[in-house]
Amino acid sequence: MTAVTCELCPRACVIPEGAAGDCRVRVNLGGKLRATTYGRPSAVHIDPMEKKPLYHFHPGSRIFSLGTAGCNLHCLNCQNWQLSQRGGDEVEQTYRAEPAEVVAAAKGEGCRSIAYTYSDPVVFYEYVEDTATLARAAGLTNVFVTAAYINREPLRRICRVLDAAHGDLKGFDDGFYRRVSGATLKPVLDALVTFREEGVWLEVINLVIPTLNDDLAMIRRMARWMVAELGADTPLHFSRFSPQYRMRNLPPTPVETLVRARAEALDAGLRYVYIGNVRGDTGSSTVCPRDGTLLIGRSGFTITANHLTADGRCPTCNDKIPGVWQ
Amino acid sequence: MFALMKHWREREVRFLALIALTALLIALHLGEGLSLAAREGAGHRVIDLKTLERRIDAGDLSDREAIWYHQATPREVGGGRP
Amino acid sequence: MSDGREPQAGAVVARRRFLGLLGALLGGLGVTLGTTSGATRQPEADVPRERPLKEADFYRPHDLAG
Repeated sequence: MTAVTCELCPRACVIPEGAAGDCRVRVNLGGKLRATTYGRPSAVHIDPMEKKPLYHFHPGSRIFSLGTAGCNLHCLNCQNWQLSQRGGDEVEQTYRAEPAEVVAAAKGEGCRSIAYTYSDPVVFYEYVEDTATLARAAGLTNVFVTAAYINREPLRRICRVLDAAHGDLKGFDDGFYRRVSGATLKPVLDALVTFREEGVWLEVINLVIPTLNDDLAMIRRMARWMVAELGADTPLHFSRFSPQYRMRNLPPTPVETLVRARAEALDAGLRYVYIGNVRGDTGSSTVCPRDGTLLIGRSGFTITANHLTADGRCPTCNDKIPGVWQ
Repeated sequence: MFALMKHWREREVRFLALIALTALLIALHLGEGLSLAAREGAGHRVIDLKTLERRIDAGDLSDREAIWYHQATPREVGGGRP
Repeated sequence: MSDGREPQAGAVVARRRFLGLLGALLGGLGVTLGTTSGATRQPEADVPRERPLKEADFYRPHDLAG
């Protein structure tokens, strides 16, 4: 029996022959670790970029999005649990989609980007790397939608082929991470910093769950950390919780809570703070931090107005607005 | 208690013995799974290997070798996840 | 004085009951082992689960997050 140790994420699973890592999809077969979902996504869709959500990265464009089974986190409130909390031996359907086929399909559908998303792309790392390499060569951009629970060296390597990342900062409390997601906070913070260091455009999302991580003092600490470590220009999205999976005992987040969280984060120094997963356009538009000019108006996933100049500046004060606009 | 037990017949004793045997078998079955999970380190999942191999053979899944792993050291195997 | 046949008849009834109960328990155990052995989780051989990418409907509405 030859056990292997996975080096991809902080769990450092020691996997005996015939077993899988905690993610369910990286399996030790014959003493070698196999990425069993390589080239076998179980979900493939074309979404608006705003759905990821990325607000400062090619707004209004469509993004070819795929995800495989498995995840290295086990969030009690996971919305995609039917995909993420299953292994390759449990999923009902896969598509045969080798990297070149994905790139060809994305280009054929007129997408300018590919998102590795839905579950956590950390667990299908090799598939991301090969697909993203081909995509970049074909002129497409690559977006990594992740909970950022990954070791630094693998992350640095994958960053070479990534253009944007959407990092899920689930809370600013290690106990919350352990209780709700079965993970720890510090590796996530380190990974978010690594994205910034590697020059990958980063936006952060925080799902606000009533009574668990909606404490305004904690939100202020999180925002201050972001200002200090990621920069005040890093967009932060507060997203509304809805009862899911094993967390059906809590109510949806009141919109007022999200509004207060947004005000707290803006007050802490972040310049672009959004509210998501709510009806209407509350807190979803981009305005110039200097003069309040409406730059990009949004309602749901739809762009209702775009007043940015061609080179991404405010039309009133000519300030450069951070993001990837071209 | 003993006053109640003296009224037991042989059939009740046999019935209780059967219940105990069933409980023992269930415990052994569960214990086997736990010992498998604990055998080499921790942080792994026991999977339906036959189904997985069948799905790989059918092309539903891949046997592509992963990167970012190494053969577990004796210390890792013995100590489980750090 | 007591009727010597009564205990014997009672024992027959008790034995039948016991055997009936035993059969039910063993049957239940068999069903349990059968269902947990994986026999019922075998995919049907004639149902393809893996499909080529070109068969995917990229625009089908979905409720996946991310």
